[in-house]
Amino acid sequence: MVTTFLSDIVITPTELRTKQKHWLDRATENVITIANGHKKLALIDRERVSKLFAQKHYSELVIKYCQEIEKKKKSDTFPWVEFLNNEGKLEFRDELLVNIMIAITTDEWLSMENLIEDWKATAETNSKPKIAKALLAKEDPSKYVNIKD
Amino acid sequence: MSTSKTRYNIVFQSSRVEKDWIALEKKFSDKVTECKEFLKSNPEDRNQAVGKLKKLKGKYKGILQYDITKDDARIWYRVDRKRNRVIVKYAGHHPNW
Repeated sequence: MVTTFLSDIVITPTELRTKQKHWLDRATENVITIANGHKKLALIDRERVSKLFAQKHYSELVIKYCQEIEKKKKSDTFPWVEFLNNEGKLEFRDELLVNIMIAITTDEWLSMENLIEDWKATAETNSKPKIAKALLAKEDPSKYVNIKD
Repeated sequence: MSTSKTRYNIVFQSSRVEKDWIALEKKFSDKVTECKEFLKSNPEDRNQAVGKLKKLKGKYKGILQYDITKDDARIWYRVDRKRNRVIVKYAGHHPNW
């Protein structure tokens, strides 16, 4: 007996051999499992696998980070958060949670990558007092200099 | 892809920032030209600068970081949408971790 996953269709190697084009076409919509005794291989759309991996990857990161925050531990998941203050660390966690909920629904994982990169850049900036000071300095529009083209 | 035809003027926060920008321009001419065009046309659109644009958070909210090179040449700026202006606040090197 084969337990189904992702509503897959289970076929035998013979069925695949005899109607190869048919099953390859079906595999773009459904997972096709080829069961050969105890061995089971699946034909699955590559994009779908990539999204499943992304989901697993980001879910692990978010859960680990939430645990670290909860236990007030130094983060191994995102070591650079040591350059964020407590408020920043919590804000980062909250945004991760909101974003992962959206990503799970939309299957759009780039936003998670962008969010992490944004916070990492923020932490990096914090770690360079000279740059941080310049970015936070009050602007004086009378000192603006137009670019020379 | 953005269909906006708004063009932004680039200004430096100070003459010091301009000097640092020019130093980057001398070293990475093509990349700074590419950055300049990005700032003038789509300064907030990640899709036009994949992997190069970061939107800072927390107390830096509203400030964007553009990586001129993969190493450490970067600029930081904010966008004044009301005046169609990009204000470059810092240009220089920022070692990667």
